[in-house]
Amino acid sequence: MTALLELRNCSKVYKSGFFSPKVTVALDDFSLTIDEANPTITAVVGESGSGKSTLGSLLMGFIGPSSGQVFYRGKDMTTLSGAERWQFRQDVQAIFQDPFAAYNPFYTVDHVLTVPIRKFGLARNKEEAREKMGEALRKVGLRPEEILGRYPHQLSGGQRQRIIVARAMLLKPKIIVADEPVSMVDASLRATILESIYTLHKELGVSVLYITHDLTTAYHVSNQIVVLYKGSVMEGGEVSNVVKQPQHPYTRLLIDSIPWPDVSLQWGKEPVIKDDGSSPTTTTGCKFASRCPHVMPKCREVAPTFFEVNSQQASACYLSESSPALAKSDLQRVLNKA
Amino acid sequence: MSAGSTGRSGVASGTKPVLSVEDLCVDYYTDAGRVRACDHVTFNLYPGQRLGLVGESGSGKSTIALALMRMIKPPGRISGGRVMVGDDNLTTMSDDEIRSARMRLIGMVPQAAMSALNPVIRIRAQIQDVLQVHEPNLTYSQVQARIIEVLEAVELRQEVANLYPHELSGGMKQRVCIAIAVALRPKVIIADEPTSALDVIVQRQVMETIGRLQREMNIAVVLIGHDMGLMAQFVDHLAVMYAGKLAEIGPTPTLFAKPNHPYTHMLISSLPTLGQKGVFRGIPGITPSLLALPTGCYFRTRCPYVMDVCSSQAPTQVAFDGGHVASCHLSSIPGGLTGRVEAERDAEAKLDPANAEKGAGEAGPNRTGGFS
Repeated sequence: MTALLELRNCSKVYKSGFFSPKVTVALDDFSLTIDEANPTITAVVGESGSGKSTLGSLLMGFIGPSSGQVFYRGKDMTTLSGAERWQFRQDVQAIFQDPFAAYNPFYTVDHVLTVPIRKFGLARNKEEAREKMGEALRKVGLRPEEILGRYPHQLSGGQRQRIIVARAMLLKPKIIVADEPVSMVDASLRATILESIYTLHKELGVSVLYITHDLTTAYHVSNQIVVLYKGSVMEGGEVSNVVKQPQHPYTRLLIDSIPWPDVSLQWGKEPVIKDDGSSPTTTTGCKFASRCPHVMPKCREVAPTFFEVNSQQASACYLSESSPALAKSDLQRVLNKA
Repeated sequence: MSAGSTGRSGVASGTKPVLSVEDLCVDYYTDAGRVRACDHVTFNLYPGQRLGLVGESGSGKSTIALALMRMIKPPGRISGGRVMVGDDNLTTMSDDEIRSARMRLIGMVPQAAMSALNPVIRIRAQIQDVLQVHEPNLTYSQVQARIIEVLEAVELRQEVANLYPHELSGGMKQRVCIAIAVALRPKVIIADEPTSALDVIVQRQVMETIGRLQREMNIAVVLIGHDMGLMAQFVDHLAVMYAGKLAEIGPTPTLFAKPNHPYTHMLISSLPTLGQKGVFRGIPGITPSLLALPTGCYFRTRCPYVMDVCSSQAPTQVAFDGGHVASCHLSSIPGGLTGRVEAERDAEAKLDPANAEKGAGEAGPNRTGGFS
């Protein structure tokens, strides 16, 4: 069966400077498959600069890969016909980080809902359009009579973000790429937004790519997780395995840095080693070597392959060397078991 | 090194507060009417103490930050109360006096470091600006030495001084803002959501820096934010704001162990932990518009434990042991909030013994249920 959306060995390289370009590898030989038959929520976590937003942009077709291919329903993205591209635009929807910048302040919030209805011809007349809008808003827990006809500045950040979720839902997409959907929303409102995304997944069978730096929300929402650092996958697998028994030092650092709402827990037991720049994104060794507390000489020479820690978890670190090695292309198999 | 526990210091009784806020009121005069964004707020901050100020958007926490710096702009106005830093009353100072007091007595780390720095001026000049205005007697070489000193204090290389803001990462920009805030060694720093735009690791590093400076320079810190996790790990006293009022204030461990205001309780339990997977407990509803506040207790529209008295009477502040103060009618009934929470958990357990543990998490008639 052909996958709905597939990244095959995708890399994205940014160059800056004309005569001696400084090369930054934002995404390094990354593969991911999203099936239509088997909808999942995949969390992609990593700190700023780990390439997670580049990954999101690739999936949404905003940018093309420097090498490798992106396939949509088995066809290379660059060869899609107009009609197929239109279909792609409907199937893949986005939820962005900033609920303040997603709106044009001169239009009422109805605008973000009426435009897709008009463009994709989802309704025959105004009544039907209005009905559809109301239905979508109710699905995300908003009351249409409180929302429609208002301007963005009259609504709270949480409401605005939920309208964006409603818009994504309106088009009955197959995939939603949610790039840090809750990082700019109050902690107390995050739950409700994640809940509406989760409901979308459950009820409509939508696959979600949840891009975040917050492992706790990733743990609650997703089935499988991919931990990125400087464009490379450090660890991946079933989410509770990875979060509860992290094998890679980078995943451990991420988890250790979460400020837990528990006074008895000590924040940051493991020291954060600053990046001294000795492992640029173009290194052949492990990219995390310069910040790793367990670094070994071989880490700086050859990057470790994946080791299958258990059937649902793989870590790219020599610390897990005792486990069976796994080809890079087999990571998807481990993810699929989640 | 931990940013948290090591910096927490006990305060000897009899010490004079370094920052004292008494009955502070801030009003905004809008076309639609007067809005009280800060309503009789009172708290003390002792030297070297860390106070957290939490609340949702619109709860008035940033208004307090601006009021402490006396930077409320029309149509806003400080309409009552006073702010004392040591022996200086900030609320009665003339414009010239307050200009010299800002940064010298009370520094501020702004929320959006990206927009706080001037994009077309090098970092050196931005730090130099503060030093030259407040300490005009410094020689050029003294100023340069101080710039290097403050940059090193926030763990930045001295070459950073020659860079422009766009050449720095988010964490580095925030560090520059901290450097500017502590350049004059103020007694108090107000950090208004200093890490809201940063990822977890950088957030930890920045908070460790603030914590270290606080200990080394014995500065008192007011940390404003909405993340109870960060508060639990960083501050030693916590004030919870709701609709411009202080809902509860007290030592952090006490507030976390035994909150006496339902809002505090819900803020704490709204955070995801690694326990039951897929259980999210948001706080339903939104903060009321300050133009149309409910009668009685402002929180009653979202409170799962609302009683008849809540709609007719605003709760008064009730003091508990150890400087713990809460404004809730539940404090006057036997068992208080803890009793209610436990009773509810028991009731849930009876209804569905199999899901007792899960049910406890989803307790409350107004709660959004967990999803799994």
